[in-house]
Amino acid sequence: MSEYILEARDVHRAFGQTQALRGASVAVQRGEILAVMGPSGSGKSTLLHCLAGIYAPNEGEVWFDGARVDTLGETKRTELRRDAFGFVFQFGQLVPELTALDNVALPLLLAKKPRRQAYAQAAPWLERLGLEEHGDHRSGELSGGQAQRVALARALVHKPRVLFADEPTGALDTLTGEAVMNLLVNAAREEGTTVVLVTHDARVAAYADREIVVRDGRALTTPSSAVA
Amino acid sequence: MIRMGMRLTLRGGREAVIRLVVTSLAVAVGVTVILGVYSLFNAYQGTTNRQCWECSPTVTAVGDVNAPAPGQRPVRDQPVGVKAGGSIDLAAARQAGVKELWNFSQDFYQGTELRRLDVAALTADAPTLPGMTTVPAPGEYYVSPALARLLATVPANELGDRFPGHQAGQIPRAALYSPDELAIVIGHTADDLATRPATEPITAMSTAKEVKGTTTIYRFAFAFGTVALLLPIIIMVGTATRLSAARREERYAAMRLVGATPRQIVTVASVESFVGAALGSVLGILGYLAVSAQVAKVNVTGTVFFPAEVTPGVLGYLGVLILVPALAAFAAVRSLRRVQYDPLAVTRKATPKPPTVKRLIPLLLGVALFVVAVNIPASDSADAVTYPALVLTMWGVVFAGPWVTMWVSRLLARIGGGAATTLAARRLADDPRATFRTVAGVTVAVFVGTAVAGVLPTAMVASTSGERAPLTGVLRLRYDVGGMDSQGGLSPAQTTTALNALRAMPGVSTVPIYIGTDTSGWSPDSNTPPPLGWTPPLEYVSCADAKAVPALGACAPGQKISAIAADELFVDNPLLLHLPVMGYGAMDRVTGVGQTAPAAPDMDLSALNVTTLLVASSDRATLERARTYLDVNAPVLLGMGSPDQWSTNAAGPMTFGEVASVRDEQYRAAQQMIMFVVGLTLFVAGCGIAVATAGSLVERKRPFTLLRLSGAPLAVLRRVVFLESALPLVSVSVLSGLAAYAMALIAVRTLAKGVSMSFPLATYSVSVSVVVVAALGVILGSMTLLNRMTRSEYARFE
Repeated sequence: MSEYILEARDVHRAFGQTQALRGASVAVQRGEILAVMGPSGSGKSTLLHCLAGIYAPNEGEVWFDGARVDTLGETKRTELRRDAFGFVFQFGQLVPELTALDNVALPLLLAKKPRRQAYAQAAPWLERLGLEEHGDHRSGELSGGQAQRVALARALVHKPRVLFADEPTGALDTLTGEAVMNLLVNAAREEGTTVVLVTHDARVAAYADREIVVRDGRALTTPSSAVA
Repeated sequence: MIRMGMRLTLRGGREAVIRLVVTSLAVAVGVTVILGVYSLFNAYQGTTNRQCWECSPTVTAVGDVNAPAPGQRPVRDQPVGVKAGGSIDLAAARQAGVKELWNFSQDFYQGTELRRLDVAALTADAPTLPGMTTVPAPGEYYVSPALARLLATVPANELGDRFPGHQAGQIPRAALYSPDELAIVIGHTADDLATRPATEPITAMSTAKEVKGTTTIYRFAFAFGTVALLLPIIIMVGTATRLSAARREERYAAMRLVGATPRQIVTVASVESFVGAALGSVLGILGYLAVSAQVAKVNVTGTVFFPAEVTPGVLGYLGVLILVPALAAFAAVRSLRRVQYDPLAVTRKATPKPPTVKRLIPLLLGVALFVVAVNIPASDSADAVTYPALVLTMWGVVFAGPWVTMWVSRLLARIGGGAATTLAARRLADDPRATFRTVAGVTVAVFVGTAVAGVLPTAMVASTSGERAPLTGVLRLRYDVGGMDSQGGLSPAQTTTALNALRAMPGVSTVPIYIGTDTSGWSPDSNTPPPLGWTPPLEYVSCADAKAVPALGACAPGQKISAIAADELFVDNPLLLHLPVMGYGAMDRVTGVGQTAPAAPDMDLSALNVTTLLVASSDRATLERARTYLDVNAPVLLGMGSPDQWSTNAAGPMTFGEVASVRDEQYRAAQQMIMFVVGLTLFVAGCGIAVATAGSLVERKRPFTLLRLSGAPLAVLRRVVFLESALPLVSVSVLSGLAAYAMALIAVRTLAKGVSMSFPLATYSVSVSVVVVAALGVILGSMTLLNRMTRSEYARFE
């Protein structure tokens, strides 16, 4: 078994005439929290999306747990997102019509788990993240921090192998952001979840075990890490 | 996922409920309208499926034709028992199994047709009309409910006196085609009817279905109307389901992010559409039930239907309950096929290319095809080209709409300078299809309404216009048509009595037309057919009498008597009525060229029989009194056979206007039907505009709010919303109206040469203006939403 749960090898990705990634390579160890930093427009979010199987790279390879991800079809990549990955994005991306509890249970329902079991598995997460009183509130009735905690619960409820977080505190104030990051990191460590965290905020990056910098579509390592 | 879909639809918060309610209401409006149209179609089908008892066959015997003597006309087939003079040989008839004698005639009351059947039973088991258990006995008559109401209220000398006997009952519904029908069945003795000309011997009641000349046009009109209605309904429902599309995209993107497959997304979307449509179907049925009593009163075919027949039936109700939700779910699946919801909430849908000039092709093809169609002689093959040409043109207008919208918006962007103009023009140019879609229904209605306004009034007015107009209210009766059916006309004594009675009625003028005595060697009394080439004697009119109806012509100074081509006055197509008729012996029906008659000899007209009588009065009630008097005291005995053989060449008494109205029945019926559909289309289109405008505002709540927060006056936003709808509405409506007008002009000029198009410009302008203003009003009505939605206190974006 490889020590790396997730790898990007010489990944290129363009959007029209814009080359977002120009041969980015990164390897993520099992259980580590990796911060991906870089200026705006550097390609860090695109790298995360390629690693998560949301986008297929134009060139290069993406590996997850010893298997190629970039060659998978849309259906298989969807399954991956449902079963093995979790996501926390800047604005939460909750389903507006569902309550907090519904949103947390959603991945389990999509995986065709029995309804009762899904909600039974989801409910403790609300309590764990301090949202037990907001279970029947919709996203419009939650504050930014509360919505992010719901998104975090949804991302972790199905015990994903990897958690992808793209600017998870970007829309939050400092204190709230810290609270969310504490919850994220603690929950991930408790569950043994690998975390890939995109941020431009050094204080958020400080929660990570390791940092890489993406600049001009390339991943640059820091002296304390070794990357293939 | 079905359960998830139900959850999102029914318990998705206030916005989801609003979306559900709006979609359901849009579907409900469409279902109510479709059920109403289907109900009327069912009722119409009931009419066409009605037993045509009037079509009961006359008994004929084989081999009745005798070989003619040289130079003589052949004796034509005669119904069994009918003697050469037209009366019935009762003994022979009974022996041949004849059970009943019938004599049909057509009467009128104030322009409304009245069907009259005089009947005499020959046997105890004589056939009865559908729903009746007995044949009226001599001295009895049965009337339709509508006629019964008239008889109870109208003075007897205007109507009731025409009918001998007393009312014994009412004609049941099974024998009528409309609750408004005026019909009467009068019992007689066999001897009485046997001597009346055109009495027919009947052995059995026909069970065939009724087929009228208007059947095809109504069937087409219903089909055309349904298609014309479906377009705005589909647009309205589609617009309603697209409400809050951005919100829905957000939802689907979030679901895709956490692993929902496209199939699961489609299932959720289908459930949402299905639920909205199902609820809408139920509401639509309830809506129809609420207005069904009014629907039953709708007159689209010239008469109302029996209320019990105006129903969609179990099939209709089940159809909407099953098909509408199923179609909605199918439509959702189809529409999502092209959209791949990206987990990052960026839908990968190709930006539509701008419409090209090729969008004008169907419209131009349709008009060209229509030109070809109107030049094909009237036939089934002409119809096979005409109808597709009309449909293609109408669809071509809708298809070209986005292209017109795009060019108008580009023009606006170039010449307009303000922020509102720029914003509106940019949005229109970006997606002209979407903006045009909201007003497509109105442009369809404008097209149909303009085409109808151009063609049908022309057709109807042409028959009583110009020189024919003064004859519209003049009664005409033909007492003798000469030849083998010659009855000799009214005798001098009968004429004197009738004229004295008529001229005693205030305001009545009469023009008797007399037949000359020059029979050219043959007499109707000879009981033999006239020789080949024989022409009847000339007819004459007093110049003094003729002044009462100046359209007949004028005499020379000092002239007292003039020949007159009276036969010309009894054409069944008023467009072929050539005037003047005085001074001629006969008129060529096709060319209108008259055979000039020799100068009338000096003679005593009062000694001659009267073949034709014209009666004029400016007062309708007086005219009916005159008609009643003539029916009773000087009836036309020529008869006209059964209604399926009737033509407007009937002997009378009918006014020239009534003759034209019988012929115009098809035009009037078509106009009524089409304007009914246009009205419904406009109603649905108006609802669609309301939904689309409101939905567009909801979708753009955020950018509009930001604009307002950053200082844009509300008036600017209002102008933007107004221009986005008003521009395509007005520009494409103009195109639509012009296309329809051109087609109407082509049709009139080709099909009615020499007739100018009678376009009701004033009425049309007012009607179209009302339609466009109403549509703009709906748009303006949505402005209150704009103010409310974009207030700064609501500027919190979740």
